[in-house]
Amino acid sequence: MKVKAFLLGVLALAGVFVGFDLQNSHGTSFAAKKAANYDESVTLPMAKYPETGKHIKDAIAAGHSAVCTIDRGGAADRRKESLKGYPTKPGYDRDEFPMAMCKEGGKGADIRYITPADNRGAGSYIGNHVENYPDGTKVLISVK
Amino acid sequence: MNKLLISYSQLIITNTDEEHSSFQWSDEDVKRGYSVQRGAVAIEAINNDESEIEVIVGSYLPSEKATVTYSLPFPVRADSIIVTSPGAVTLPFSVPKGTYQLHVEAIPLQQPTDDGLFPVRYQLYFDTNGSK
Repeated sequence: MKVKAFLLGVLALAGVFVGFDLQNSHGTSFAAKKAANYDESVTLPMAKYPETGKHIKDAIAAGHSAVCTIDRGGAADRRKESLKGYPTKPGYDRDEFPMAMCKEGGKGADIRYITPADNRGAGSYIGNHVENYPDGTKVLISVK
Repeated sequence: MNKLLISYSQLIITNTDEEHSSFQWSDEDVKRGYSVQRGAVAIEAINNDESEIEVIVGSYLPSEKATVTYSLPFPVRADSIIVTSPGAVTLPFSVPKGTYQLHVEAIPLQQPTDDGLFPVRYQLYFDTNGSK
């Protein structure tokens, strides 16, 4: 038992050093991504999409997940849950955060009515960035 | 039938050889119902739910059931196109290389609801006659 514990200790210590090396050889972004548990990131430009940007910021500040785990297969069901009780309104689109394509979306997602040009542009921007990411990819959504 | 979840109220049609960038929707684009960039177009959708996508190459026959129709020129450069929506899967379709008049029809498959969550069939006609 003592030998086993010793070996586990050595392995754990080795892991610490390996982690340190990876951090140095791949740069801080790798370490930061690993620590924050995401694979990719998308930053929405606030200057271009002020309304949608503010909505995302507010939703994250209110406690919604900034990390989106892509799960396209479950998106239609989550959309039904998130938009329940939010009818369409002439002259506005409904923005949902987290988005329905994210596992974190669905029931309880934050919904806001936003002017169409802003919301559609923002949606296209995010969609374009995540288009080639497979399901399961964790994407950090931020606004700058 | 090919299914696509519509998001951000738009259906995107693009050439497969085109690295399209994101669409900038102006207020004018919102008024006319579509936004165009080189080799690609984003069309305003009438729902935000799972929808059927049908691509037809040939003469355009307007459907009486369509509640909205958009028509615009569209060049196909590589014998195929992709149909998608932000965050959704991408659906490839074979369309022979050529210059077309694209007619996009939206046909509700159920009575439209207040929440915009109802299935729609989008019929995309690539009409060679219309391009002359």
